[in-house]
Amino acid sequence: MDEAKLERVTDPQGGETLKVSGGVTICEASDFREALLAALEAAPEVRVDVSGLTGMDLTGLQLLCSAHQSAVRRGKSLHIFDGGNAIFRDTATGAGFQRHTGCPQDRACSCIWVEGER
Amino acid sequence: MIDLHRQAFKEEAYELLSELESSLLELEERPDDQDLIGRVFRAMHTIKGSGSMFGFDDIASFTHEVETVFDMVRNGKLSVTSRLVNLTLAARDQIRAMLDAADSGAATDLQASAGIIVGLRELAGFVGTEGAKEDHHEEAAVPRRDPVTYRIRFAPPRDIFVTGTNPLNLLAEMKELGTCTIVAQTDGFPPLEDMDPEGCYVYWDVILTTDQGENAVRDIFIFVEDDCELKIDVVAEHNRYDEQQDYKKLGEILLERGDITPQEMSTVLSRQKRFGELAVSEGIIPEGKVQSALAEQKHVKEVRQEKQVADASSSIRVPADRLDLLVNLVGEMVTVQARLSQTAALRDDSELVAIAEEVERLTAELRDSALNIRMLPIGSTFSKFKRLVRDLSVELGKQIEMTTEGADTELDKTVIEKLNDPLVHLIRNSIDHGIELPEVREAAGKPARGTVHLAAVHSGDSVLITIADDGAGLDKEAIRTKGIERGIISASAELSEKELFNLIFAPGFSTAKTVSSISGRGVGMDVVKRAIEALRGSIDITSVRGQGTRITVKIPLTLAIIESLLVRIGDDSFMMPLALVDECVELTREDVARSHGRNLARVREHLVPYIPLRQRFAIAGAPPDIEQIVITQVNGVRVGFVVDHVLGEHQTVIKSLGRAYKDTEGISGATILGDGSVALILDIPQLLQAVEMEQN
Repeated sequence: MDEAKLERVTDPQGGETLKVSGGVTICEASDFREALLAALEAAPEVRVDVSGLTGMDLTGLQLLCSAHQSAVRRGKSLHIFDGGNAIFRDTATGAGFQRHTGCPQDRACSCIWVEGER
Repeated sequence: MIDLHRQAFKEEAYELLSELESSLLELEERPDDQDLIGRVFRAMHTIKGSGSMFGFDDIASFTHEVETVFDMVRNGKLSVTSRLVNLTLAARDQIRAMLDAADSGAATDLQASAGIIVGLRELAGFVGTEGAKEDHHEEAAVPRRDPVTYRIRFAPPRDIFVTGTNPLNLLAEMKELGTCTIVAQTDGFPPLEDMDPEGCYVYWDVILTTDQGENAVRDIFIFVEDDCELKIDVVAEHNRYDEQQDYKKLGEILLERGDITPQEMSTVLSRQKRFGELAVSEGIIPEGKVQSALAEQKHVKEVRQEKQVADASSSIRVPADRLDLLVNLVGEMVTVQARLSQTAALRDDSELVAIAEEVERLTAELRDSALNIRMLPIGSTFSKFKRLVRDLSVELGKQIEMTTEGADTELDKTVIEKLNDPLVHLIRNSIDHGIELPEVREAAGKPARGTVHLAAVHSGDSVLITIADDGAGLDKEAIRTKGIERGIISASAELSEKELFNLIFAPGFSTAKTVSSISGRGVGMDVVKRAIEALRGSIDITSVRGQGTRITVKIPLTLAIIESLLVRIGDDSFMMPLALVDECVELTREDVARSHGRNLARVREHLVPYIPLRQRFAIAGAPPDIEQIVITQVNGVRVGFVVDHVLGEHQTVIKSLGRAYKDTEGISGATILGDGSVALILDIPQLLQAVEMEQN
C-alpha cells in the first residue's frame, strides 16, 4: 500500500477539503481522526476527497462515518467525493456500509453511504 | 374425493418407483454419485410422506426403513454396495406390490417386507457401530441439498484490530459460502472526538443463504468466537412450499431480531394509518376511489398468485381418455374441414375459398399439436428393460450389459404401450438364445460381457427400433431343419437368407432345445410379429453367425393418421396404406384374357400375382375396360390389388369400426371423406394372408 497522505485545502469560497490519498490503515487512523476533527473545527462545510485512495481499512470507514455523524450533530455538513474510486467503493460495499437510507442521526439525508449521494 | 387423492398418489408413486428403479440401476454403476443418492432418498421420502397422508400406512412405514438407510448413505455413513442396491430394488418391488394390492384388497406378502427390512437393518446396523466413531466433521463435508438462509449478527470485540484480525476477511469468507447481504451497523459510534481510532465500533447483520450448513458458518468465526458476540439464526429453509409467499413484514423481522419490543411495535403500529385512510381523511380523494384502487391491488395479487401456481407446475396430468376424445374431435374437424374446402372449390366463391384455406391451415396445426400431446419419449420403456436385462442375466448366469440410444425419440402413447410386450419378448430372446455364457464367449474370443443394444430413431413418419446383440447369431441350418420338421417348408425348398430368418416368425416355431422360464413359454415370435403388424409396423431380422443378431422394428409415429391411397371400386371408396404401395399399373381386358384366368400380370418382364378386389368383395356391376392394379409390397413379396380407379393420396384420420364389424376380414378401419361418405381402410397383409390360406 502506498504511503498515506493527508492534505487540507481551503478553497476561495471558504470550503474545507480534506484530501486523503494512498493507503489509510490502522497505523494512520489516529492521524486521520485528528485531520477530520481539525477540518470540522475550521469550516461549516467539509469535503473529504477520497478519489486518490489506494486502500482503506475498517478504521478509516468508521472514522468517516463517525465524522459525518459528528458533523450532523454540530449542524455542519460533511460530504465525500470519491471521483469514482473503485477501491473505496468496493471496500465500503464489502464491509456492508452501503445502504439505502441513513442512520437515525441522519435527519438531513446526507448520509455518506447512501448510493448516489457521493 | 378421498379416492381421487388416493388415485393421484398411486399414479405419482408408480412414476416415482420407475424413476427409483432407473436411479438405482445407475447407482450400481456409479456408487459415488451424490446426485443419484439424493434422488433415491427423495423418491423414498416423497412416497413415505404422501403415502401416510393418504392412508397407505403400511407403505409409509415400510418405506421409512429404506429411507433411513439412504439417509445414512447420503450422510456418508454407509457406502453403496451391490447388496444395498439388491435390497432396495427388492424393496421397490415390494412397495409396488403393496400399491397394487391396495386396490384389490389382497393381502401383501408381509414376510417379504419383513425380510427386506431385516436385511436393510443388518446393513445399517453393521456399519452403524463403525460409523459412530466418525465425528460431525464428516457430516459437514457432505454438502446439504437444500439451501438455508441464516441471520448472523456479528459484533467483534472492541480490540479486534489490535489482535491482528481483520473482520473484512471474515465477511469475505462468508460471501464465498453463498448469497449474502451484509449490513454494517453504525449506531454504536461515539462522536469523533471520543472515538478510539484503533477500536472497533461497528457490528454487522449478515443475511446468508447457503447450502453448506451452520457448521461451515461457525467455522469462519472459530478464532474470534470466544470474544465476540455471534448469533446465528435460521430465518428460512428453502425447501418449503411456502416459498412463493411474500417474505415477512419489516416489523416481524425487527421483532424476531429483538431490535424492537412487542410493546414498541404496537405503539408504532397504532400511530400508523393506512395510506387509503390517510388520503380519505385528508380529503384528497373520495372513499370510492380508494375502494376501487384496493380492489385492483387485490385482483392483481390474486392473478399473480394464480400465475405463480401455473408457473410452478410446468406440466399437468390429464387422463388419457380425455386426450383420446380430443384427438377424436380433431379427426372429425379434419373431415369437416375437407368438406368445407371441397364445397368452397365447387361454389367457385373466392371469399369462401379464402376462409376455407384459413380453416385448413388452422386445422392442420390443431391436428399436429393434438397428436403431439400424445407423444411420449420411449425412454421410460427403455429403462424398464434395463431392469429386465439385469434380472435375466443374473438368473441365467450371463454377463450382459444393455446400452440404449435415442431414448428421447417420441412415439404415440398408445404405440409405446402396445410395443412393450413385443419388445420384452425380443429382448428376452436375445438374452436367452443370443448371448452365450461367459465361458463360451471367451472361448470364441469375445469379451465375457455380452451387449444388448437398444436404439430408437426417427425415419420419416416411422420410428425404427433396433435390438442388436453380439451373441451367437442365428443358426441357419437349425432353422432349416426345424422348418422341415414342423412342416413349414418342404425338404427341397430353396430359401434365401431373409426367407429363412423369416421362418422364425412362423406360428409354432421355436429353436430352443430346452424350454427355459424365460423364452419358449409357448408364446412364439409369431405373436410378436402379429403384435407389430397390428400397429401397422414391420419387423426385419439380420444375423451373422457368431457375431450377433439385429432385429429392426419399424413402427408408424402415430396410429391416428395414415397416409393412404384413395381408390374406387364401383361406387365404393377404399383406402390403402401408402407405405405399402409400390406402384400402379393399368390392367386392360386383353391383359386379363392373356393370363388365362391365372391372375398374373406382367410388369417389366416380372410376373406379379394380383387379387381382383371387385370379385373378392362381391361388388355388383361390370368393371371398367381399363382397371388399375395397385402393386404393394408385403414381407418382400409384390402383390397387386385390382381396383376400378385410383383417385390419389389422402391423409386419413382413422376411425375404428364398431364392435359389430370388429372381425371383418381385410378391413382395419374406416375414414370419412370430404363429401361425407365413408371409405374403408384395407388391411393389406390380412387380405393377402386370407387369399393365401384359401389357395393352400
